[in-house]
Amino acid sequence: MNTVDTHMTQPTAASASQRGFWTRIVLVTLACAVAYATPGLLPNLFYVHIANLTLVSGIFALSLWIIYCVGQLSLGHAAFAGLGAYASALLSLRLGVPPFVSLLIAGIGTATVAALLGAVILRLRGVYFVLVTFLFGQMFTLMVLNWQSLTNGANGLISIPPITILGLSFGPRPVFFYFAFVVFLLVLLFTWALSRSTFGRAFDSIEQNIDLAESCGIDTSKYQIIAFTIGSGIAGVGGAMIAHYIRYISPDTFTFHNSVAYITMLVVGGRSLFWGAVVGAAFLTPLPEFLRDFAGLQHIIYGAIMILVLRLLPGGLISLPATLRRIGGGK
Amino acid sequence: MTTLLDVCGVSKRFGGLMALKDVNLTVSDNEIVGLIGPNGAGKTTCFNVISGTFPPSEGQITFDGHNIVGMRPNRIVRIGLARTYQATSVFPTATVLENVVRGAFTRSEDTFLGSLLGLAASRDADARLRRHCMEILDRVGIAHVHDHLAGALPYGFQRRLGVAIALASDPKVIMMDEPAAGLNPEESHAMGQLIREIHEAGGTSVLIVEHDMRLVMGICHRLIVLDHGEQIAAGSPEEIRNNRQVIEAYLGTEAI
Ligand SMILES: Nc1ncnc2c1ncn2[C@@H]1O[C@H](COP(=O)(O)OP(=O)(O)O)[C@@H](O)[C@H]1O
Ligand SMILES: [Mg+2]
Repeated sequence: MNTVDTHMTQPTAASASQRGFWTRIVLVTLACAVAYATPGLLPNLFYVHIANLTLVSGIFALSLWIIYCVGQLSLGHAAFAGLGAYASALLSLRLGVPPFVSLLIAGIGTATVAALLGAVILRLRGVYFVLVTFLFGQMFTLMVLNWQSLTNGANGLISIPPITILGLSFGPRPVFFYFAFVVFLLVLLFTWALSRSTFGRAFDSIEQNIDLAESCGIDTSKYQIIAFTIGSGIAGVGGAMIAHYIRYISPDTFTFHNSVAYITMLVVGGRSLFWGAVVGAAFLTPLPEFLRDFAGLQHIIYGAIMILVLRLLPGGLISLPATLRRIGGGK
Repeated sequence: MTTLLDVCGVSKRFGGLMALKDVNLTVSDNEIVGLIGPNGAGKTTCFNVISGTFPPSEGQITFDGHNIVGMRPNRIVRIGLARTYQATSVFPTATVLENVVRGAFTRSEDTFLGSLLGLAASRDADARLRRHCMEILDRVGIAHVHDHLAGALPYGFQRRLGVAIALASDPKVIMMDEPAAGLNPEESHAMGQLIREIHEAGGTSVLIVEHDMRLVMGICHRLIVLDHGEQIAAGSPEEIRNNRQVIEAYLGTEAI
């Protein structure tokens, strides 16, 4: 969260922050205008579908970034997405809860599970935390497979109703695009604001030097749990969006491979800024769709891209302009 | 003088190793107390036990009327007991000023919601905090590099930044673990000046671990000597300097 540093170094930054405010309004408006036209401009529904998946991937990557901000790497992120997906699907299928409401409940439910789990496992750091989140992901898959009466096991849940708000169905691909875009934008703005808030300051302190953060009076356990809860809760909402969009989920929808894919997005995009998550999702989500012919190679290609980026662009794709400028400037 | 920090009968075992054996020490308000002894004597362990990094195996520790055994380090800082580290410890990729602002985290009037929404009140609170932290940087003499990244600072400045971060929490007692380690004689002397200034200007008490005897003898009101986890002497610098046991265990025979 280096944004914290560059912002307001001088106490006299009031007018600059005013200007920044209007810049952001203009940017958001511009993004909305582009988004409004996008479904109509794309050549066919396949592209709209990819755009939709990219937006949801962006939500997953951003939410994982929030957890990464306290220096923790979760290999169970897809399991939280799956938890949200199953919760929302079951609420709407079994209890008739309207899909938009079920989506919100799923998000809160997933966040609650994350808070409880986080309170136990966030004492662990580094590879130990990674391992435990990996196990959590595996446990989730096993549970969904075996709790047949609730989840329908390996067959998955079918005919999940689409999201409907005030009679408008977000089932069709071009319409869902708008829903996904609005949620993505909200998550993006929230993540940005969070990174500049007092929480963001605590998160970054923990990431950089957890012992010193504790010595600064920062309750490092509490803030790690908060980051994990917010990130996982947002992943739950993203998972629920997938459930009501694809309208079919199974244990295969959210696996370990998805968790790895989200991490790849962060690394490839650039871990140091939240924009990196967006760039990574935008770069890597369409890739497998266009590489359909090499289906088995997808993970290899992901791995190769990750290694290449780590070797050549440790700051991720987001650092490409700066790197090019440096090379161009001959420095 | 009222006692702020009271360490009573504290022992710390690491497996078979007794790192601290029945240590007793107090720090009163307006006092500079030195904790000295050879390497491996248990000085850093003593700081870690007091600051809540790990609990003592036995004994009581109270601070300003609170029993702080078992209290998390962040709570201990918030009731006014701050520390610095033996190795330099900063937030490397944050600016120097931002480092100090983080040290003042719990003193900030900023609120989460205010800062999330970017409210004017929150910006004002942040600006006030930054001004306050600039003053602290000024006190420790590194205000001119406030916008540099902490990790890129020269070693001597990083040591001062460590002190500034601890000061920012507005402590009643500050524990410093070898603040002059690795500094040249002039820098070391300046660090001694700084500690005395901190003590005089803010009325902050100091518990200091340091090997530079000139510095320690020059600024401390009282000294406590540890050897192999045991307290072998306590008293004024004058008394310690002439204590036979201390000379044998630590100071050596040379006159200081
Ligand atoms: N976390 C720990 N686990 C095990 N042994 C430790 C630990 N911390 C310190 N020790 C041991 O305790 C003894 C005292 O160390 P320390 O407090 O660092 O000494 P000093 O700061 O006086 O040089 C040493 O023998 C050291 O190896
Ligand atoms: Mg030590």
